Amino acid sequence: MKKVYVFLFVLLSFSLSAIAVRAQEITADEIIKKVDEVRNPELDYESDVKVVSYKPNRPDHASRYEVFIKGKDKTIVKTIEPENERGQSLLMRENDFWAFFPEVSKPIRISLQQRLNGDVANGDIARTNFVGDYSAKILRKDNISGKDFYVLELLSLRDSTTYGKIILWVMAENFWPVKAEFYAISGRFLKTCSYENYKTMAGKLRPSRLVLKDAVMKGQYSTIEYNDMKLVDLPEKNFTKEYMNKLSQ
Amino acid sequence: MNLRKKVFCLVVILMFLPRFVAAEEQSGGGDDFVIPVIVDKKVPKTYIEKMLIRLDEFEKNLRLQEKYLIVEDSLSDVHKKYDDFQKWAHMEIHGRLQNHTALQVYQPGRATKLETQLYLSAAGEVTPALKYFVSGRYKYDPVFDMSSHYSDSVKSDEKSELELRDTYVDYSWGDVDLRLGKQQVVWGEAVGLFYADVVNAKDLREYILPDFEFIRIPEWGVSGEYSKNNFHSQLILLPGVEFDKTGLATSNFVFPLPLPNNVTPFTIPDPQEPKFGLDNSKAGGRLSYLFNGLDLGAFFLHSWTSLPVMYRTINAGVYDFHPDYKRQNIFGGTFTKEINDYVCKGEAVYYPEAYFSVIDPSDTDGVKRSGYLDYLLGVDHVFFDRWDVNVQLTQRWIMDFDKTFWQQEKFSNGFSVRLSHDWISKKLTTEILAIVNFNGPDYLYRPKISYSVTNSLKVGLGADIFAGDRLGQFGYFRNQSRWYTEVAYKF
Repeated sequence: MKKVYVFLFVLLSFSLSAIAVRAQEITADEIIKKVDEVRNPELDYESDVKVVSYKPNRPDHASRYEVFIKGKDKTIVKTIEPENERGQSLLMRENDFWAFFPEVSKPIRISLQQRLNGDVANGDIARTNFVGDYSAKILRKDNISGKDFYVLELLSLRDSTTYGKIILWVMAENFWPVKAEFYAISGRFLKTCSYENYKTMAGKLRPSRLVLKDAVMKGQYSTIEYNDMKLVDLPEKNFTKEYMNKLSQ
Repeated sequence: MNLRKKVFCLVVILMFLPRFVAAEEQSGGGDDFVIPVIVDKKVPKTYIEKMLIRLDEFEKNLRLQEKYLIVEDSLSDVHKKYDDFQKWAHMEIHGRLQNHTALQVYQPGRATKLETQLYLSAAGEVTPALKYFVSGRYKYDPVFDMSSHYSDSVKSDEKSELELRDTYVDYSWGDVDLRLGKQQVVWGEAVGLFYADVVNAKDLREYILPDFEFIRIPEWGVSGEYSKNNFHSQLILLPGVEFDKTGLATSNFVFPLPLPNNVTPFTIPDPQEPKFGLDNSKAGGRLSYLFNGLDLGAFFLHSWTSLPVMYRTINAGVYDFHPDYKRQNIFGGTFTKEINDYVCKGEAVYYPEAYFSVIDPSDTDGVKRSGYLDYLLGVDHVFFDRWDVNVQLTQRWIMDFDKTFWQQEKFSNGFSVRLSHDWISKKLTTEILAIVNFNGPDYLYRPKISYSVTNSLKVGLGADIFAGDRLGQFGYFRNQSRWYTEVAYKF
């Protein structure tokens, strides 16, 4: 009889310790910090980005950009293709945005709303840090195909974020983002995103392809492919509206 | 249930409680799930099974990646030198071949433009700090040969033209950028108007209808810029001064002369343009600072009058003009600020002691001087997600106005609105720009529809409609209202 109690005591201790370990699990903020490290290099970098939009019964629309990113909140997106739009560029400095059109030859201040237009929001191409821009909490842990995933809810902390709410699935083993659902500030479900084709870019395995599926228009989706991502030291002056003219040449 | 059984059940429940909780929480998210695939060629195939990474091997993968990264790092210097060489050897050449055809609205069938132009540019870098840009344009318009409407001097001036456009070298040194060569300097914030764009002369032979890129005339000189955080400054010195080009007599867009009604006999010699040299340079600078989203700019320019001052004498009722370019100082400021998705912008430009023509015959030289202020306030907003709207209010205030000033009021008020919308994934764009001068009143309406046939080929159809008071700045060109087509091929 005594042996049974000892056995039960051991089991009970084991269970309680498991609960205690569970309580000490990684926090949501720590997870999104690691996710950010996977999605973007921490240092300045540039990348070639190809965006293809697919719509039913319509020809595919492909664009190619050079993207320069400095720090947490400075991005320049330069259009390379299509040829008709070559030389256009977009500067994002925290909450301030400018667009440059060669025909006008000067930077035009634009609003956040204008920045978000299009099948692929410019915020999808720019660095989107979850840390600092969103408050995170762990909704649950999913087990899919035998693997554990953290399911996080991210709520926007600033008006200038691309999305109001994000539900994010993160692989527990390596903190790779795998899937996200993006919602507008109004709560409207906008699109899903899957993070695919992990490859070594700028010194780390990162998703090189994002597939963004429209939540309403079935069969309508866009892909964002990152190529030739490399760490570079980008001067601060390159992220001014005055530099946009130089970039367009 | 005895105590032993109760304890046993409690232990079992506690053991499995976390799993039950997790199972209850798990819902959704499993659909269309894509397990990330490693496509990096450096990752051995043994770690990829049916294109799905074996997650249990992931840790090993990471270790392998680290080894590869070490190799990559050791080669980074070699890569950098190769990249530098590639950039040095690589010159990007682009261009645009386009045709503009215009037909008058009020004299149907009379073509006023059949212009074809080729624009070419080449850009490259000698070192990462030293870059160059060369561009030029050739245009030919057979319409000047097809009509007897134009004088020989207009044909000579407008039929064909080969010009060097922006051509310069850029040198970058820390926070300082230098640009040496023929260049455009743009200080304005407004859409469709030239208020604070005071530096470059303008080609107004087609009034303000061409792309702004080609209305500005690049000028030879040097520009230095310094940027630090949110502060930016620019100094310019342009010894290769250019002046506004306007249409000669019988051209499509001939500016009126300051003459009383029914007076025609006069002589107008060509004004003498200041020669290339430091003494005759345009010189000035601009400071700007971005603070809490408020982008403020201030500038000063020691310049020239962009059009000649029309001095005149009257001898026995015959008007003789003696046009002359005069020095002119210009002070200005700009701002932009986004407030709740509305982009507010403003420009103000002050011309002290500017020159105004007068039609009073008793005035000895036909010119009086007064300071004046041009300013505008505008706002941009997107309605219903896709409708881009820009509205601008403008005013000119002539401080020492008197009633003899030709075609001027103490206050001249204007308004412009631009509405544009993209359709079919941005392949089709419709837009309209309307500019109203309340003093006439007179108007300029510019509806346009353009379509991207391919990624390189764009076609457009539009109209430039001048209307209103025939003495107003737009109404005067009423007969030049036109339908037009554009075909542009970019490469």
